[in-house]
Amino acid sequence: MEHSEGTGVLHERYDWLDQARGLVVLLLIVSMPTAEFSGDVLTGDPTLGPPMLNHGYDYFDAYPPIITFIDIGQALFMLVMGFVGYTAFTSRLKKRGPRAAFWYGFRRVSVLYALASIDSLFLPLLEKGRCEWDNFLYKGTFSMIAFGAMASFVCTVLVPNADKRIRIGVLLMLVHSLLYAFPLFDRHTWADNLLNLPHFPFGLLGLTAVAIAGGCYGQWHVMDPENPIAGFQKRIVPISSAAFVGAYCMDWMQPAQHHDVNASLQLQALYMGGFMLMIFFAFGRVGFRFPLLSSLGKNLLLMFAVGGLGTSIYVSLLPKSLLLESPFLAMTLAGIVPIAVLSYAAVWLDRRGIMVRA
Amino acid sequence: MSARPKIRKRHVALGALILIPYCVAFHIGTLKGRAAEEFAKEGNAILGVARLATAYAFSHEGAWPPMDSAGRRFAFAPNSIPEGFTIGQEFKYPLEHDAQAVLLGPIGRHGALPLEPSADPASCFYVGYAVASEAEGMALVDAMKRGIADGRDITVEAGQGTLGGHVLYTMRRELYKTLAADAVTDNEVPKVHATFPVVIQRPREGHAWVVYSDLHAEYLPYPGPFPLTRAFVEALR
Repeated sequence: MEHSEGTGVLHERYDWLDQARGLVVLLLIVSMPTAEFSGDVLTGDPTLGPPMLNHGYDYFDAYPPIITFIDIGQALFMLVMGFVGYTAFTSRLKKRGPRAAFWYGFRRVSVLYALASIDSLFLPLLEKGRCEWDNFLYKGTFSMIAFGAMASFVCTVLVPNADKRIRIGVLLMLVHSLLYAFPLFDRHTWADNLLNLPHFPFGLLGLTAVAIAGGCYGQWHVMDPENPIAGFQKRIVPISSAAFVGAYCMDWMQPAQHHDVNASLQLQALYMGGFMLMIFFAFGRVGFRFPLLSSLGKNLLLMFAVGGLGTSIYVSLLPKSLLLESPFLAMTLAGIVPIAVLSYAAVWLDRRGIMVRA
Repeated sequence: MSARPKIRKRHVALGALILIPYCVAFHIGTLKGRAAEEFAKEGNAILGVARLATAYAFSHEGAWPPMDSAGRRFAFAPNSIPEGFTIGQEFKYPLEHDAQAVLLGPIGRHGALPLEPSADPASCFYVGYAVASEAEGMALVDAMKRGIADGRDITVEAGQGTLGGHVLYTMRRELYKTLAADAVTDNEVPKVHATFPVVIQRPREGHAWVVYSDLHAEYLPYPGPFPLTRAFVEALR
């Protein structure tokens, strides 16, 4: 899975994009210790860490949910995956033909499902003695990312024009919002499913819509190869601005929900992702860069999978009583050490030109 | 991809054709969703009564609370567990009503919140024994009338006990293991808990909420299948 397939350069590597990807991974790493030390506001168990960098549901899991940056993270990750997936897929399609492109798509989805099988089948089997098949098929983070990536590839093939393809994403969002509005299916933490409503993969549907939009963003970015600003100017920023207004309006009617990735959250991911890409692109234009984020972003999947798992194991071993005694220790051990270790690993890999990817 | 596609009239018409029905459907869906949430609140209150019983079981070696055998009522025995409470409005002086218990804060923005019963105890029946059919239920009612439903397993005629056995088992955590050990069931089947009604709402307007010992709730018609058969509900009353 190293960056050594073929001999020619498939496509230009965008440093600003690596930095944007790196920020998403960094937020994921930070969310591990903040989730571990969420405490409990009702029972008085103390909270550690910045609440904005934790899932809102870790503090208040009810309706309407509290939404933070971290709650948008999964959808943001999906958007970025769609963005880079488009470039990787279509560059192979153009330069090496359909076989190479489809093999790439198959490989990427397979690796993600392989990670899903570890996360949802193997580890639960060791811990709980049973496999979590629903998580493996449609509820787990990796399986949702895998399915979203696959949907994005398929839509790219079926509807090559992003201006038309975005309609599929919009349609999925509208369908999601309607299914979510009617009391037809069980929603996350909605009355504990007292009405015995059937389950529906709301999260999967929502992230699929975001992945398709991410693919469109990826295509718009290269809509004018001579002028890289054009894509941002004509599509990404205007559509992100529209998504901002849409998210604001939708949030009044159907408050954003992290697990079900409803329409509000999808729109939030669209505008935050669009603006984030624009900011990093603009930084790049004025010659400003974050080398650490760039290193983290180059090994996005590795940092996401191995870094996420490693960090969660590490923070679970930290004694909370010790961290409570000293804010300085809490900041250092829970806040800085995981970032420092993963950053070191990312820079080490980057300096050797190693990029592990599906 | 043209630089700025023209917005044509037919695009606007198409957009309106999609958006207007969508907005209407969304509005109807949201109203229906809110109505369903409101409807589920009553079931949640009845579910709260069953949750109290499971909370009791945690501090009583798995045994659910006994029934009121002295009063011969299908209700918790007096003083066995407190009435179901839920958090009420912000605590303000002077008190507008009698508060039986107060949760002192800080809780959110509140210094203190009164606790109010989540369900009127008189609005539901508590069935402290594992019964899954009308015959078993009527055997329990008979035992209650005779004053022998005192928190212990009851030996009854063959076929009238739990799951057609000869013993009416008191409700307890992991009862399925006892049932398997006593050969009432062939093997340990946790799902058997889904067949034992433990809290039954007094039927109103032809329906009632029923909570089973696995803590799932159903809104069933009355009269209807067990436990909402006319004979059993009349006997509970």
